[in-house]
Amino acid sequence: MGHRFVLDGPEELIAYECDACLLIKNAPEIVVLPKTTQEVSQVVSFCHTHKIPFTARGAGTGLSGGALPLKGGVLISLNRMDQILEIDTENHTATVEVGVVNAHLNQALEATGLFYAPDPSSQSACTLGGNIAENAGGIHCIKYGVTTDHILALEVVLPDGKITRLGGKTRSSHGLNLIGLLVGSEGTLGIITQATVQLTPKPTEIRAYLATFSTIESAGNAVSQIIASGLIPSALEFMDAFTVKAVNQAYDIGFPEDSEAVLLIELDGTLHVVLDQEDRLMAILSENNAQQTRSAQTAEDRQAIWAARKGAVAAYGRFQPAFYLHDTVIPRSELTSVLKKILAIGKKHQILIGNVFHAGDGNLHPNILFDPDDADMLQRILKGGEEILDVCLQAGGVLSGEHGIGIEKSKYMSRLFSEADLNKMKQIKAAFDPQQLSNPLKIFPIRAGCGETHLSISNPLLTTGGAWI
Amino acid sequence: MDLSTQELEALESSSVIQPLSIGDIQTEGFILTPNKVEQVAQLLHISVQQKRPLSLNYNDALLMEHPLWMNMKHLKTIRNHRINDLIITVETGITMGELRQTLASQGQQFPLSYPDDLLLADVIAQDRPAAETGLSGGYPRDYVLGLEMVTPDGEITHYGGEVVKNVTGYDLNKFYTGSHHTLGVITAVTLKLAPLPEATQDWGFYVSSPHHPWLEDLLPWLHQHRHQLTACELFQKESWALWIRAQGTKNSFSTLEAELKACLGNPKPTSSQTTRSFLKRTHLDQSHLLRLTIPKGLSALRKTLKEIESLFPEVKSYPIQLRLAAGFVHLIWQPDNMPQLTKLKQPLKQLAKLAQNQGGHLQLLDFPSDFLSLTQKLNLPNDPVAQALMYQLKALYDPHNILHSRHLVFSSPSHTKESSSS
Ligand SMILES: Cc1cc2nc3c(=O)[nH]c(=O)nc-3n(C[C@H](O)[C@H](O)[C@H](O)COP(=O)(O)OP(=O)(O)OC[C@H]3O[C@@H](n4cnc5c(N)ncnc54)[C@H](O)[C@@H]3O)c2cc1C
Repeated sequence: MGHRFVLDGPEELIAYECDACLLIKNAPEIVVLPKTTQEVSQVVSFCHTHKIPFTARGAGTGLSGGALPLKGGVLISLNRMDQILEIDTENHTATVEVGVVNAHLNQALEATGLFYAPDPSSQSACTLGGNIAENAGGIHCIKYGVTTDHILALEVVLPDGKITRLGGKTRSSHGLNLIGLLVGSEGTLGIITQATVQLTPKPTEIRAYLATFSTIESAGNAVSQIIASGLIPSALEFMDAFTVKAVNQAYDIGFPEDSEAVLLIELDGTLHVVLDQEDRLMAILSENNAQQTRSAQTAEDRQAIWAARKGAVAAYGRFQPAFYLHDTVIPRSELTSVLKKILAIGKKHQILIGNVFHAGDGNLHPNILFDPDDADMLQRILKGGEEILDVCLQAGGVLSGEHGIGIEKSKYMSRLFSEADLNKMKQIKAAFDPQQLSNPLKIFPIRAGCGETHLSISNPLLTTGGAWI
Repeated sequence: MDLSTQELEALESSSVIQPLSIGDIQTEGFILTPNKVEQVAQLLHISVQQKRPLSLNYNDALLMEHPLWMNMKHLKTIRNHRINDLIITVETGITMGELRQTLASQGQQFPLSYPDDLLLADVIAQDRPAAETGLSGGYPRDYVLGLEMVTPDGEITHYGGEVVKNVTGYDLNKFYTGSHHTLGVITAVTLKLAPLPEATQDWGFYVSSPHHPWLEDLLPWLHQHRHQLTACELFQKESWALWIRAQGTKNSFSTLEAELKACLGNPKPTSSQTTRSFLKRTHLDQSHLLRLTIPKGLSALRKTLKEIESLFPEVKSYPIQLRLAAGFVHLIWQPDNMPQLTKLKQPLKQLAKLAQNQGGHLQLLDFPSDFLSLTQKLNLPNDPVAQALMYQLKALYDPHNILHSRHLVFSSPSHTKESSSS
């Protein structure tokens, strides 16, 4: 691989000591930067023979501490595997190395009339490998599906170093659906080195709308009614009043500030379909007492709306230097009641919470803002975060919709799964990785007394859920 | 779990276990008809203890020596219907007809359509693609949000939830859907639903061979309208005919029809009877089905067709069906015109190779018992590492190899009549 691509100096390793979940820090012992699948396989075989843990890393934008080598060992950074190997416009597929950045694939597709649909807000930085490992979602997933719905084939280096190729250029699975199992497995079942992804024809007409509401209820009801009506918008996002204020200040976007809730909605398809849907959408919005509805007149207007939405998290920086971001999913009909409870939790603990999320999927992202130098506030936000998680679980929700479990939420897994359920997952892990070398200590609760972690056990995330950046 | 004699007697006396007869003939097999999920666990346990093969499919069970056939018909409770969320949790012994009626009464539907008498258990276990909604997805796994599976070790396990997005742990919904009940018995699922459409429209036209240029115009049109079109199928018996179905609002259909006709160059409509018979044929009951899954582009389709025409010059005597945009090419044989294994073996291998070279694959579905070894070869991937991993996972779930399916054959099936007679 060459010395240049093996890093072991402390100043080099520091760059890899955390992902976007900045609280947990744990520098690797060594970082390797392979260029080919063969090189990945050689590194993994070596680790297998010598029982050395290894962890894959893409861009390190993960929010659940997934890319941290908690048991030490080798960090395999896949950024140099960044080639788009094939764009097959006839069959609507692209074959890529996993270090390709999500947005770069779409830039390469610009002239083809096709696009790769999963669009996490971090798309300008995150890699397709990280997206596959986390089963990433995004704003347009309500209509186009999450990463798993777009993966046709994978090349994987298994934890013993063997290389396997699964799938082809069709969605049908051949034998057991190992691709379905690997997507979202957070690097614990092996290292993905290549993928063939499904591309989607670009819609001919896209329209974006902004609707404001005087109460959270009316916005929540509008979401429920849109879903129940069978309208499938290509995006249906929610911003609370606090987030609107933050976004306006940061980007001068001019969202109306005199409301409790804002919905950002996008429709796409053929002109005929969009016009028809627009009528139905407007009727629902007015039935639910939208104060104002505004449509983005031009492509630039639309892009500005989405840039502001995607930049909302950064905009919170004006209020507190850090935030602790949760990611849960609840049944969509529970939106209003859960949001009210979240706001009440904020009041109770005197913490600022901004809510900007994928309403159409019921995928909440409460962002709890705080000052890391304020020890008392730290305790309050951790407590508040745990209460939010409980509220979501009680409403029939789950632990994560797109950021994964990693180390951040592993200790909550037994709140959702029985021992038998978890055991089956652990057995699958053991079948792939009997020596427990591939990204150890992730997803599954760490048993008390597990002294092997390289992390300081006083780390708040090992005792409480959530991540802050 | 060890089953006491009393528990066993209780299962027999409540008719959960009954001898299996075919017509008047008493077999050495048994029908197992559990009334609750816990009984599924008990029955799996008996099957493991006695090392007797078990299948959830009647026809598959008949292929076995001393079969146990588990009939799920009594497990059909609707456990929860979140009407406003368009989500239902239901036991898998429900028929697709019963599910359809239940949902229709609330103005909803499961977005894929199947014959009424098919069990949800089969649809999920086979990840059975539907004739409809072949364009915008078309696999049950796309709609499975949660699932309950009883594993051969007697555990009742649950994954997923009543939410539409979820990355909490491994995605076992995807892994189990399509596993043909070879890893365990899927007893309940949580499904994503859709509202009933305001209207549905079918179009049927006679068309010239897919080698002609009209298909070049049609394919991009299909992709453009894939969210409205729920089926598009080409069928050849004596001549080629095209069936297209759309769902949506009535006023959107006239534009679609005009565009479709323009693509096809003013085609001759089929009779409504022919269109209806399309629907029947798409269900493919009692057929031996060869499925080639190929990439969606035109070249792959034409190349495959050419190969079929050269390998099977008599192809016009049995139907060929193309599910355009879903990428399926089906050859359909009925029991009375099914060629011998010796005649089919070579062409099938050749076709499999062609499909693989194009990024697709070939599957044999519901083929006769003498095709089992070939099915085993063709229905699992070639890659030895992938294959070994699949065998390992199968052994993890089902170490005594009791769960069998004719579609996903894992071992040279020692329990089957084919191998015992050979
Ligand atoms: C501002 C911001 C916005 C975000 N918005 C979204 C969003 O809208 N939707 C969303 O889903 N996520 C979002 N995320 C989270 C994050 O960007 C995604 O999880 C992304 O998929 C991670 O990609 P990465 O390349 O950074 O992976 P990393 O963070 O490097 O790794 C993530 C996990 O994947 C594993 N991994 C990485 N590459 C491989 C591989 N090749 N093989 C096997 N395992 C691998 C790692 O071991 C780790 O467990 C956001 C993050 C930030 C900071």
